[in-house]
Amino acid sequence: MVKREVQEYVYEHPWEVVTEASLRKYPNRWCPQVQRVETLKREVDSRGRLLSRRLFQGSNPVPSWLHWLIGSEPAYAVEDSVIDPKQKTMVLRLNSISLRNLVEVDETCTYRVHSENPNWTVLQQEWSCRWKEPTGMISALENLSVERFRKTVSNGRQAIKEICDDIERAADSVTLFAKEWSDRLGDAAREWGVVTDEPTCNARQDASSH
Amino acid sequence: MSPSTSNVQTEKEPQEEWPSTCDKVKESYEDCFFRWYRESFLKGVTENPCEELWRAYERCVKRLASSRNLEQLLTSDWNVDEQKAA
Repeated sequence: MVKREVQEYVYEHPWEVVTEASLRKYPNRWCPQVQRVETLKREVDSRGRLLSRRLFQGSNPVPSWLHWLIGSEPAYAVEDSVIDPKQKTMVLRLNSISLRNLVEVDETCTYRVHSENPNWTVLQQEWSCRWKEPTGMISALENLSVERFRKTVSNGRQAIKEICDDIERAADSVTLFAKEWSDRLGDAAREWGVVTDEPTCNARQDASSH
Repeated sequence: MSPSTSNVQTEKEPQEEWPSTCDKVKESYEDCFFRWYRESFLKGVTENPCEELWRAYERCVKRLASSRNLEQLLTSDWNVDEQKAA
């Protein structure tokens, strides 16, 4: 039982800005299900590419009425990314870690310069979800995962757009930008309770509505 | 209702996994990293001025990873180049 989705999206921002936004993306108010992101390792390889591995901790990806079946611990995923500043490409591969005996979620995102407008960036996003037990309930869950994916990616894109706007607004004043950004992150962290000493689980699913 | 404050807590105390000082350490590292990314890395300069800040942050991350039994992620190979069959 495999579900697969491929989507393409154009950001009207340069590649340099979009890739920085992607690295700065969390925490943000559009993706409240992401509780914590830490960089586990990072290096520049012999080809001058930046490799980063990030650990994502999210609120449990299944609805609460199924916690009796698969537990209610936070879910973990790991993402390896490679940024090639010469080719101007960024590729991110995300794999779920938690619950892999039940379901595998994998996502690949590629950011490259738009072929017709060098100041724009194209994102290609491929996502697959493989449930290992093809029962009726699992099939229902699988459809739910696709719905969730659609909502999650559109929220994620909104976050990147906002961050791009911020980066560009502040492009002529880097230190002011850094200050402003860290203040914003601080406010955001307090508002959402996503950055505390203790893992929290107050994810809100209604981030897009007022 | 604990009668004593000197009880030894379990190893899984959140404060043990991610001491509050780690938030500051992370912020300092990321300030340095993003400045380097924008001003040097994208322009072809790979020399990295953030090494010391990285090592401090890495200590926090290693502690967090081992408290959650995720240590293998600190050393396993990069998943960046192999293309999956379509």
